[in-house]
Amino acid sequence: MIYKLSKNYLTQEIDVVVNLEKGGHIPFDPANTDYQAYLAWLDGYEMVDGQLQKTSEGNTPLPADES
Amino acid sequence: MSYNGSGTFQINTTGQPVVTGTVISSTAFNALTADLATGLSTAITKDGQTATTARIPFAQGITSTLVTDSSSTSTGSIITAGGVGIAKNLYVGVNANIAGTLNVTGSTTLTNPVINNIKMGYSTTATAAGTTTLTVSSNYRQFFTGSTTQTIVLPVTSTLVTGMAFEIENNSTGLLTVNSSGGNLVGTIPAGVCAHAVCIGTTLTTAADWDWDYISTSTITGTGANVLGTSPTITSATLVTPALGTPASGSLVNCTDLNYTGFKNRIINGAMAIDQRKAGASVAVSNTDSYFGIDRYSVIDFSNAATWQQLTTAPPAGFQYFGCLKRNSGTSGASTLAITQVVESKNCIDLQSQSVTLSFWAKAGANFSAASSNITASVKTGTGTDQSATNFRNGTWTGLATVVTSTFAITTSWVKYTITGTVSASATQIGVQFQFESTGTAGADDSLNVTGVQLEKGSTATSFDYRPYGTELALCQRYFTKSWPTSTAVGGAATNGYFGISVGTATTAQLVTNIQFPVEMRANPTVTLYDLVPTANKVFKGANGKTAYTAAISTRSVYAGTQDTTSSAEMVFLYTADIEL
Repeated sequence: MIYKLSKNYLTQEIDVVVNLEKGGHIPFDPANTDYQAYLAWLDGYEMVDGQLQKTSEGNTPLPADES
Repeated sequence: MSYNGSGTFQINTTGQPVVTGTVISSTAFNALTADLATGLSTAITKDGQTATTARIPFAQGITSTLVTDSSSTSTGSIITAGGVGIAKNLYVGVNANIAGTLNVTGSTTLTNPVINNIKMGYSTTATAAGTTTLTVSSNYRQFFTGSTTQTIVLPVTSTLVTGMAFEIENNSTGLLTVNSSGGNLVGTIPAGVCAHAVCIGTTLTTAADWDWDYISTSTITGTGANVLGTSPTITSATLVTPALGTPASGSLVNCTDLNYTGFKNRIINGAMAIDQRKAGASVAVSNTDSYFGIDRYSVIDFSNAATWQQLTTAPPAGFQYFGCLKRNSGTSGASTLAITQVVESKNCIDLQSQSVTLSFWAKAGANFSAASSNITASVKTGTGTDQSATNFRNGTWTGLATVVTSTFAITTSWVKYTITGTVSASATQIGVQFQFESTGTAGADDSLNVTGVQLEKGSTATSFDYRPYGTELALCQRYFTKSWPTSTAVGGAATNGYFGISVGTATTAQLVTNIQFPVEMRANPTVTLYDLVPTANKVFKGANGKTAYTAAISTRSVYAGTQDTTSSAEMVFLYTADIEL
């Protein structure tokens, strides 16, 4: 999976991460399962065959564009 | 001998007959008088001096003009101490008065008799979970008292005549079972009820020789109506415009044909009517739980070789749609396939410590491969908040507890299935799941078909909660919404349904607009923008393929557009917003 951070042009704060593979702009909301998957991905977990499995030591998203 | 034995009086003594001109001797004369005396003494005297010594034949009958008291036993026309035997019919022109007992042992037919009253016999038996066998000599009325059950065996009908009857009244609190002499059930009599059994045949030992009717209950109150006594169970009753009144307490359960009864179904889109993502098209199912198609249902196939589709051909009566989870034909090997829906915590807290019932319609495809055609239906709870369908299926919900799970052998016909269980006091989330294990190589229709899914409070499955389509759509849009029309699948031709702005003069600056979602979403959704191709994460600004941009995603709205620097006066896109569990 590849994620890229996105900055709110109004607040200049990063409040969205974009899933570049599946598509989707994911807000930083713990109630959002895509955000939960993103947090797991940061820790090196991804869904494999229906199970959350450790696939790496950790991941880092692409930085947000400057605007 | 004066009589010849046939009633003829004969003068046959010596010297008889006498001869004219001769002397009649004393011997001849005395012999004649002796004969005459004998003959007269043998005859019946009309004043009753003699009693007959043998039966007297009256060839022309007996006629008497004697007027007697009809109630007298000593002055009648015929008085006999030894009784009267009548070989032929007895006809009584006026009255027949019998002071003693009239015993009739043969079959008696009384045509249109007028009887002021009849004293019928009765017997009383205390119920003791035993058997009471009736015979031809048993009393007409049979009363049963006590507090337990009893079995009554009716007489052997060949010992009866048709029309004989028995009235059996259950004054006990237990159930009476009435059988024929051959042990076949004729009827059962609940407490407080009276029944009537009439012999209608004399050749069988089965219930067919008996006519059975319930003739009364023991408690009748009220005005102009019969009111059943205590907690009656009425099966398949037809109530014509009943007035329920204002009962002080009680609950109305298992009622069919009730119209909108208030959102009793905790499952959203139970009738599979809403399919925003695919609009009825088939979609491939992967080995990662996902909301591929029909709204609110997460689906998985561990073999990555199945489809999920909203179908409309031959659903069960009352439904227009059903979901079909089908293995791809020719796929080999075992796999687990599951359909899951989890309920948002806000919608299930009131189910704590309550009985809940899951009902659903299911049908197997013609080539359903699961062993014994078994599927497993489950209702489970957790103690977390809004945890995902994936974690539900994986069994990793916090405080996961099974409310009820059951295996059903489904058939190729639609059947409604039901399971009931009790939710724990600490449950804060609930979900349902249908799962099957495929085997062998998939045929043309190795599928599980489901619709009419309903999870409701209570221990009885009631009629399905049909909600207006627009209402159901709005309920689904709390979890997923899109700019495409509902009838167009996501990714379909973008002929309409897109958002955008036109600024009049071409600009290289970012173009961003605000989207208001149709209903407030469960939480801040994942928003995906599409250009007009449509390609995900892209928008149209002068051309397709410009990088999409969002900000300030909330449950009600999002800023969406692009920061692309292409010079254009227009920016257009379509979108989806997804906050499924």
